[in-house]
Amino acid sequence: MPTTDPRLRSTMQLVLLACAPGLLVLFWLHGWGVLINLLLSGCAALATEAVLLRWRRMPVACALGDGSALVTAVLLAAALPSQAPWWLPVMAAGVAIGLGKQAFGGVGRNLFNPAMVGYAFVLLSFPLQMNHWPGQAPGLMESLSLSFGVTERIDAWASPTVLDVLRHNRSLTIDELFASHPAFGQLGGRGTEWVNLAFLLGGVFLLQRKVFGWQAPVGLLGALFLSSLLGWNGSGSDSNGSPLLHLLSGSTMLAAFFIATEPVSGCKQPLARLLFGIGTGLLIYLIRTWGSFADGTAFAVLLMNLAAPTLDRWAQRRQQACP
Amino acid sequence: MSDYVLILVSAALVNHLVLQAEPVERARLHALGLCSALLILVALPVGIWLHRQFLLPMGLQDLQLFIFLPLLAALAWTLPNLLRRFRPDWPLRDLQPQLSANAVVLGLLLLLGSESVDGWGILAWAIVGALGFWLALVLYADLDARCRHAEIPAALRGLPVQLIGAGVMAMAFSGLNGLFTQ
Repeated sequence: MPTTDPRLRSTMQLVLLACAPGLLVLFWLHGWGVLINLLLSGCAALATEAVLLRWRRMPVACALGDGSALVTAVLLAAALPSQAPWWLPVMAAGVAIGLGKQAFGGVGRNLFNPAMVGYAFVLLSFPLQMNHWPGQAPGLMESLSLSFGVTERIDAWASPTVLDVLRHNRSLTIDELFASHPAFGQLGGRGTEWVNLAFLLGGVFLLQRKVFGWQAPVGLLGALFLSSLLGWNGSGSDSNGSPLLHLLSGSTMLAAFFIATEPVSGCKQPLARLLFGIGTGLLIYLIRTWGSFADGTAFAVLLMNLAAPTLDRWAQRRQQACP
Repeated sequence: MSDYVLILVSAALVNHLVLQAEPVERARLHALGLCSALLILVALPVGIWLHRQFLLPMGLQDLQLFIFLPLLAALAWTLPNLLRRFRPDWPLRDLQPQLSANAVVLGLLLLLGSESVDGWGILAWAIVGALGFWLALVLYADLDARCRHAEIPAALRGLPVQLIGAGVMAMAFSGLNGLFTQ
């Protein structure tokens, strides 16, 4: 009888552990909605995986035991708005596991990052619900009734994220925004700066345990830093945002350490991994600054997933040419 | 912007799904990519020039397809033959049907013909379109090649999984929606 790959299992456990600081800060920031999302997407991911594996007549228990579906669910829960209606995390996790992973042959065969397939799917299908970020953290009962649609969603509770404000700002300078707008904190978005630093902490832990190479995260953060430095047109009202603001806002650190480092849909060669990171960073900046979405992580990663085999082939040929 | 990206990607998809049942070898893929790029590069300025010099002054815009289609057919037949003269060892045989059925040139011609883009703009679109189509073709070929293994569920093998892959590809490209137009 086939058993769970112990290496995959221990890697996934480390990744889950490294997500913990970021999730704790998210919980502190947004309240119980984060845990409800986590529970819903976790259950949906495991259930979808179990049903599809049973349907394909494959061993269910050992495939579920490797933890890869759970990692997908945790990444989704960290990226989805915290007061989303219950069906949003369920649908995102179902699509991530069904279309992103099992349709292509299951673990180790996915062509795209499953979590990002699920995220892009719900972002394109339900933009209204996906942009409803709460300005405050409601209590447990309130979160439950919001998630399951018992009470009505109050639009005044929604607060734009810092990247939203930056995109639509036409009148205030950056200093004025930092001084007066509730979405701005000390260095980046209020609260999201700490979320990003917590994910950075988890990422550095994974890097130190050699779970993945340094190339993809360094490439992504370096490219985002350089492009935002080059595109930084001062602090006026038409500002594209400083490099620090871009590094500590949105899902930058989550993307750099937990999403761009996915080994199956990413690149295999070290040089190709660096290029993969650079490409993702550039695309994130492009979509954030000039596109129609506030944050472009999911699209950037999916686009680079498409280019991954080409990058790998190029890096391999280069390595053979000059060993 | 998204209209043009959509044309490029869907043309690459059609080129693969409809015209190539078997995986193509890389040399032939790049030959097709190069020929398509050349076709776009030549047909776009010539087509728009004909449209503006002859069709517009005479008020015959409704007949534009009767001008564009023969132009494309003639170019699709000429380009591989011309290229074969310079590079006899390239796998350029039987590319004509795939080139003449290339929707990207016709789509770009119809779109740009109705817009007021100046000469340099047309040239820029031709270069971007040519390289973009080549890139989309290569990306799609990789996607196609990686979808051919035994672990794909039996019900999805072949065309279904290719279409799912193309769907995810379309989701990825929709991230570029509205770029530079906001």
